[in-house]
Amino acid sequence: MKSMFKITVRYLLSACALVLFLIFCNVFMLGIFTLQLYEEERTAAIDISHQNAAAEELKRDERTGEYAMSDAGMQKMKETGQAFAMLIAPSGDVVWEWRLPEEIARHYSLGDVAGFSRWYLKDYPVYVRRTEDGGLFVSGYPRDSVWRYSIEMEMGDLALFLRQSGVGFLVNLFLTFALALLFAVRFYRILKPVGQGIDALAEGKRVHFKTRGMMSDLKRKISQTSVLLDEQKKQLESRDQARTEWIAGVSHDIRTPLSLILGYAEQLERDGALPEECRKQAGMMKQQSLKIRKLIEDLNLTSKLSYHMQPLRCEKYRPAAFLRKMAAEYLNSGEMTEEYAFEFDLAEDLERMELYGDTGLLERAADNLIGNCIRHNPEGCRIRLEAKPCPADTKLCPAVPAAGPGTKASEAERKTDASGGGFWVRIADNGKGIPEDVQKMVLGSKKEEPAPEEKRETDQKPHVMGLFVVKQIAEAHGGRLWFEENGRAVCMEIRSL
Amino acid sequence: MKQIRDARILITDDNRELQKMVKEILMSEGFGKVSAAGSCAECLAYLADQIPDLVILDIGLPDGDGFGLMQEIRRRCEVPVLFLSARDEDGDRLLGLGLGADDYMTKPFLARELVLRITAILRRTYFPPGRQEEPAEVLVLGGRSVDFAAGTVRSADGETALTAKELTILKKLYENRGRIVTFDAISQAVWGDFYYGYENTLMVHIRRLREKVEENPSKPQWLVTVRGLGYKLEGEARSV
Repeated sequence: MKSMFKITVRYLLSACALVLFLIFCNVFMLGIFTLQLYEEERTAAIDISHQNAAAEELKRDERTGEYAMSDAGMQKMKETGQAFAMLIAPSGDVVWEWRLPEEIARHYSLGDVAGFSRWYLKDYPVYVRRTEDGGLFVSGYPRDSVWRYSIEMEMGDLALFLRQSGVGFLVNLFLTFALALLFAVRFYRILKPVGQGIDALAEGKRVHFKTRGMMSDLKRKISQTSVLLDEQKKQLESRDQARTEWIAGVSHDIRTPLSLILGYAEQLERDGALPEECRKQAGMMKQQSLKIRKLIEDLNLTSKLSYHMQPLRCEKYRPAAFLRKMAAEYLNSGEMTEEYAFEFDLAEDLERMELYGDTGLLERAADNLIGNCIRHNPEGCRIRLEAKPCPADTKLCPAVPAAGPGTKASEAERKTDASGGGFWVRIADNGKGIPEDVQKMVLGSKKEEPAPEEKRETDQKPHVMGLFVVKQIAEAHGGRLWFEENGRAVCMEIRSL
Repeated sequence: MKQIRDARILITDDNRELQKMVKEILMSEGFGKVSAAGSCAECLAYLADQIPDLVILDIGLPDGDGFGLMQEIRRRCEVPVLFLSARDEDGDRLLGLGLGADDYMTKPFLARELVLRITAILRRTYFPPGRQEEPAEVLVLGGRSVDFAAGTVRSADGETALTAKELTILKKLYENRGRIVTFDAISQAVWGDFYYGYENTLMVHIRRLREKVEENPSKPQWLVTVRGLGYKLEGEARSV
């Protein structure tokens, strides 16, 4: 749900950024607009300098007392789009006029002047300028061409307005932020169940929504996906189960006929009436039958472990005691004859360790590994079993074989907590070693069983299956399996369940 | 039944060839009274007539499963039962043993193992130690002998008493003589389940024990150490 929170925060921030961006845009646009107005001289009509220029061109002929506008003045007035002009003498009479419309009066009182100098003269916007001789030069513009308004404000009010407009800006910002927050929270509330649903989906859980409210479409889709995933999971599970059951069934069916082969072979082997050669052959049949039995057991277990159909029986055990028991059983069983030397070395700090695990499966794993050493070195070898606690953090487990158990562990590793975590077991012999292709086959894939054509290349088929089971058992205990010394050493990491 | 070999054994398995083979295996080992049943009905019919000394049961039978049959047998009598099944699931094994079966073996099996297990069950059931006057045994270790009943070691110099712990250790090793017994197994026998931390104490006891049973305690001949694993007792048992 962290991501949902992030989304909300981001939403909030982007809302703020949006507001700031809009403000900036507006200011920018206003600036552009103003600049454009000046560049196009569209404000020329109300440009006082033009009117002044025109007014100055109006001269009085001293002899006649008549007023006349020079050509340049005319030109200016025309350029600025002036509709008319007149000069009002101090007496109030219009003494000079240009294009003066009929409806405009030719005589003005002081009151009239006060009126139009502020506002309009018969709806014509007019501008007034005093001339040198005390007259008024009035420039008129066409109706509806200029909007004029005069602003008055008390100084106190103006100061207050300026102060408060700052506060108002802040209030606006705050309101924007608050609204954005409100929307973000709402948005978060609405999205939260959807996010949780997606999280649950990712964890493989079943999701069901009441498809109401804003996100109903999305929720419905998530529910549908969940159902779909569920169905697929069930299908896969049932297929896996069918496969495992099939293997279990086949191995079950092989057992009874194999019992007869094994039983009779054993009888023949011990039948003193038979010639020595025949008894040897019967002994061979017995040995091979036992191998098939082992294969069946491994095949069955590997298929169950692959598809998680082997329930782990979790119990407390002491690795040190467990390994000693396993080794002692092997030495006592008589399987380890004179040709084999057995060394056993446990780290001191393994003694204290107590773990949880399926000892039945772990026995199987240890049995497979020690058994392999014996089976693949029939002329004898020296077998060495070592174990020590491993660091609590799995990531520290050696990617490079050289750092595994058996080599000198660093001080940091030695200091690791011996009571938790897990341990490393290393079973090594000085015999032939496991061929590299077999190693690759075992380590190669997580689930795939070794490909049959690859298997044909080597005559050590039980090797693969047996090691594969060991790997699966190690993985079921949160650990792993790896090889060292050209396959002469097999190492396992076993963790507490 | 005077002897183990006199036991009447009933095999219940629907596979006639397997019946025949088990019969032959047991016969060749000297068990003379072996009968066979091919189904639950046949087995129960046999039981109605007489109670055998041991029943070997298959689980997959044509008219029911071995577990149901086992319960039915238990309702009638306390005869020891050994499951001999092609099912190797832990669940089946636990179910069988949980129902009160004396042992559970999976097919394919070694004939020798079957015979040993049957013998062990029969001995446990019909000749338990203590019930029969078991011949007292002494452990002979070269020139010395251990009398477990008296808790003493006799030698040419006289008699030495063993402490209770030494006796327990020696008994544990004696029961497994010729085999390695781990430190853990010995400690558990002496101090119970919470035996951790007694390693050094065990070593002290073993040293004292050697002083009593060995000619040369620094070079033990009978009570030998298996490095890293435990101890092993050599020597032979002799009836007195």
